[in-house]
Amino acid sequence: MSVGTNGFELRKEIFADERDDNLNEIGKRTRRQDIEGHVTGRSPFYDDHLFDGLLHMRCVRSPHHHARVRRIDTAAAERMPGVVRIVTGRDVPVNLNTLLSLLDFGLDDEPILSEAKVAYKGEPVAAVIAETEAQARAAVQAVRVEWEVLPHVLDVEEALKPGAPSVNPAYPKNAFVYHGKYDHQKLRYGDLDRALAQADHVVEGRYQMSPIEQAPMETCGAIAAQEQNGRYVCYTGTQALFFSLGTASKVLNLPSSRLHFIGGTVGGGFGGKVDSVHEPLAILGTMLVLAGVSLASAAGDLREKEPTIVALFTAACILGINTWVGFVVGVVVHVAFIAGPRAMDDE
Amino acid sequence: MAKIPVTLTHNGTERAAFADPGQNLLEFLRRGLGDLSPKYGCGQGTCGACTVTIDGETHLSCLVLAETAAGRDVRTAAGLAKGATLDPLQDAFMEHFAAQCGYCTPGMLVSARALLDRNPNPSREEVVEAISGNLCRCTGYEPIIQAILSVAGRRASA
Repeated sequence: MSVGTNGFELRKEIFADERDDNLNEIGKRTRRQDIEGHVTGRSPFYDDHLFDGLLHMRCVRSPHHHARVRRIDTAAAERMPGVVRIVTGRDVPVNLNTLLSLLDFGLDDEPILSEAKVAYKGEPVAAVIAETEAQARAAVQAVRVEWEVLPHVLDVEEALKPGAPSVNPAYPKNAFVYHGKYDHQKLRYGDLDRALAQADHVVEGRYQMSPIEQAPMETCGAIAAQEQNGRYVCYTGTQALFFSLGTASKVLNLPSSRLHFIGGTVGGGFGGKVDSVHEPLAILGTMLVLAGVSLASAAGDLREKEPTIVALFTAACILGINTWVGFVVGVVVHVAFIAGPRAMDDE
Repeated sequence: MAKIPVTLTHNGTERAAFADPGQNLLEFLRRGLGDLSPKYGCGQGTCGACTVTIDGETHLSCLVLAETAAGRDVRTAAGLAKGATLDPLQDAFMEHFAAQCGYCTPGMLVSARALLDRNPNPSREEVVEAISGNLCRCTGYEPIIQAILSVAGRRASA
């Protein structure tokens, strides 16, 4: 044991048999442990698992920003070549979720396949399972959805005005609802008026971040297949393997012991591969079509990609600064945050 | 519709498989021949993850009909190593930290190999041009450029 000059205790003996703990990496070239697989093309990404008779799932998505779903007519699509099954929200055992519900944060506000209303352009309302990807795409075009287009709002400040359309019914007036143990989120202390009065300089401003799109080279997707003893295997590009496992367990109403998740090799994520929508959809497809058939939900090409995260801050700041000393004596920040159509699209 | 028999040279070996009508070369290589090294990124010819060479020229295999590759010499990243001996470019990519997630890497290596085969001493600008069709979201390209230049035997010019 050694005691550092700051009073820290560094108990190096605990991991002494696992690694050399004399941290001396700086200035050296250290080879990534997975890089030989990358340069030889052998790293196993989720789509690099071949199955005989693999079926393909593609989603029917909303062309509208905000609309009610009046009716979904799948009759013509069902007669298309290669179509095995069309899945809608009624097939999803628990069709409402929010990703961080696994941490008891946020209300369930996201259907896997929307039944009543869509809250963003591209929201899936049905999924086609077919023998080939081309057949699935063709059948997606043949699904007829009767929409009742609703007024939409795209700007965060517009969304907060009285009378603005509520994007998600779980959050009326587009305001996040703090609930349970997370109901003390307001931070207010000190005497702002006094701080402003004594300040030498007051700065007001508006700060706006650019929207974010991760655009990883490997888009989102998952492959599911039957295993033995009522278990399903799921190969996935998720960045959050246990979130995806827990989410699939929740929305499919299956104990997680019946789900075998295999991931780890992620073709870029940057925070955008945590949505855990493809995994339960792929597994659901496998559960519904059975017959020893495995199912792919390689849902992401760039056009069909889940609209992951569009975050946009607007901050109006008033800063009181004692010029010569140069420290801030008071701050008011109003932050409006486009979380997307779902509260947890904002990670 | 009837499947189409396609015979081609794949990384130096004659291979044959059936292609679906309209199937692209990427899917034919991956599902038909089991070569998973070319990657599906965008499926519309913008990202370069599926880059292969056909008769020595780089092509985006997602935009090539499988049957049009019949009788031709198709090479992928899986063919770069000769047994246990890696291509110098593969060693250089490892040495220069020129891959992070690894998804663009096979296509990037194919483009780099094609460049060095036709021009063993490219300038930095020629390297940049050669990989301009290969998107990478992790590295910022600089380590990749350095890796390729190190094999070309040229030092980077600022």
